[in-house]
Amino acid sequence: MATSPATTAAQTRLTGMVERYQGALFAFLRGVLGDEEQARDLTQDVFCDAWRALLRNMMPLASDAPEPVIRQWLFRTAYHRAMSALRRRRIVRWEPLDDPEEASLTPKIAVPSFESVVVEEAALRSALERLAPPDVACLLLRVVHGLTAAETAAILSTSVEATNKRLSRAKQRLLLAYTRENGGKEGAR
Amino acid sequence: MSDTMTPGALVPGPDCARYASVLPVLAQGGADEATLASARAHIVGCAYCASQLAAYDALDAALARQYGGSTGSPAMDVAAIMRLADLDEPPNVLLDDLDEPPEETRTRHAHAPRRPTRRLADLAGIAAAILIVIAVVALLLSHTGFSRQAGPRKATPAPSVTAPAQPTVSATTGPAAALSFASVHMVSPAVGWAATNDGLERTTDGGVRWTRVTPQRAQLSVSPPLDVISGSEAWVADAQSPCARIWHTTDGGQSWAVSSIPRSQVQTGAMPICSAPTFVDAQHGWMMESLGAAAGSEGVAIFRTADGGQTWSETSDAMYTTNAGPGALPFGGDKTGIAFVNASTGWVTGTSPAPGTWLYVTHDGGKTWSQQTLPLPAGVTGPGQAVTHPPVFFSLRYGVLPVDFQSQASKTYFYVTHDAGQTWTPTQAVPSGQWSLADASHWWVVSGNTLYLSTDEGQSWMQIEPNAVFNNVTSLDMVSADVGFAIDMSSNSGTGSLIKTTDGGHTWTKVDAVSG
Repeated sequence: MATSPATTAAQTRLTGMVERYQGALFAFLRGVLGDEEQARDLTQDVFCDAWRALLRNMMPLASDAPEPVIRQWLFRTAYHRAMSALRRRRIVRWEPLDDPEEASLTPKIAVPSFESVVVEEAALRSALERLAPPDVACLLLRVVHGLTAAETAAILSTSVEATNKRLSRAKQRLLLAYTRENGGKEGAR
Repeated sequence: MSDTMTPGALVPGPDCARYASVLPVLAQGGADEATLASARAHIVGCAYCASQLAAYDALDAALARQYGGSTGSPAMDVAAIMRLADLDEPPNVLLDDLDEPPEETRTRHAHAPRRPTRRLADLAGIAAAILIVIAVVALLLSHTGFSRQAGPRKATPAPSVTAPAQPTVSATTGPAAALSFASVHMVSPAVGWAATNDGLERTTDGGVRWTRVTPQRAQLSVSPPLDVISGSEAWVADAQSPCARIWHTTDGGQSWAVSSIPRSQVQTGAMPICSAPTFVDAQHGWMMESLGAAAGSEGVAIFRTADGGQTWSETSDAMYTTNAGPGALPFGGDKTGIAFVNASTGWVTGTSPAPGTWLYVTHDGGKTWSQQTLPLPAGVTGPGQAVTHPPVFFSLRYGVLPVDFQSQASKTYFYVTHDAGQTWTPTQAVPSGQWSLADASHWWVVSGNTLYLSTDEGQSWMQIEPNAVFNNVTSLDMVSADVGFAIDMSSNSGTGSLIKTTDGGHTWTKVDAVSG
């Protein structure tokens, strides 16, 4: 391993990134991919990408990069790696929840008590799998990881408006899917 | 949890539909301040929406618990990462293998249009492409424009208000300021319009210097519905509750006339979100207003003008409160836009579960609608989602209707008509992304960081690998076979940079654009 001062500094920065973001990136990838092993592998790949960028002092991971920029770069890399993996895996499920017949009833549906529903990972996972992967990514970035709409838009390569709309629809669809998954368990807190 | 949240105990009130898309994003502030404040005020007195908000809050909490990153941390070995990085891919891989974004990146078309958002994502990108084509068509046909927007239902006497032309802010006199672009709409290599962080801008020198031409009293969104007819004429819509307003200039933005869109007969109280108007000649135009969407359905209202945009009347609508009888547009389906080929025939496009497609046609100027079935391209099957986009016409009979089929991989098929839309035939698929139809024989699609070009009406696609400047493009606007513009969002700061090509998309350079 090279031991120049620049390399040592890069290694220090990589170590910091791993410590700060490995948990968040792994959780994000696990949510998008639905596969812990693959999420673990891709988390490692993201840091490999970061290491190469750090060695070359590449933008936006140059030595003076602020933390939000680093975070956005890592999540963007993770997102794209996840999408590439899903394309290769070809198991992306796009089960439409919004067929017109059903959707037309939505405004009249009284939403069941979500808080009274047992929140279990399997049910949430199953509901997430019924969403398009970019919707899942948008949900996790905005809701779980607290990224702004602008940051999320940059990661998803879309606009702020499109991101807000995607988030709204993703949540509506997830709530509907989750409610279905828990149709027989309502109130079973 | 309140007993009132048990299924069936609560039903929405007449105003609830307008907040259906706001409640899910209230916690994240995913709307403008006025909309958020209005929603919060509504919730105070609405048990139904309060219960929905509680459900979304619980959903957020569940996501945070399950995917918050506090469990199952992989405990990465930094030394192993460095070894693997050295062994693995070549140094410049980084984001290069990240292919195209899987779904609609089209800010303008998908979103900006129907509600200033629709993807297209979407809409910024697609809209730009469509607008460019529109501009080309307009020039060819003397005066033609296409846009989409919605409005309410029956033809009402158009009580629109037409204000005298309002002087607008002209060139700023202060120091030149760098711009962040949301969308660009060039009508020639030198002249064009753009939506930026500062509002509406216009250039006459190929995008280097821009002059602010925002209508003085307009309340424009970041990427407003904009329909560029020529270098001097453009339409832009703003959001003004309870009715949208349409601004029109014919002198390059020096002055603007404004007209109000009447309140839809089925409007539920939500602030309407409209697209730019679409014109087939100097007098006849349409616009579609989005009246709120939920779970794959969307209420819309369609308005028409026969006096060049001075007054607008509602021709049709779609809402869950209305009876979708024969000739009506269905409430089901997200609407992506509206386009007309002449004063009587036009289409509303939208989304549907694949292999079906959502396409409705009118032959009476927008009063009645019927579903038009598209032939399915070979190999396309469900499940998935099909998204039709407003057709663009290069002549009175020759037009293109883009359709995205999103399943395992997203592909776009450009359906072609040579009989003014009576029949549509799919061409060869291209990876989905934003497109720009420079002219009838130069169709461009950007998917990820790759450009695709068809010079044979979509029968084949040539792949172009642009230089590194072309990265994370969110809006593509090809002016000719050689010259084009795009917006690069790769800065990480959320700033949209203007980039330009003069060699057909192979080489791109950043334009140091300034306003003032």
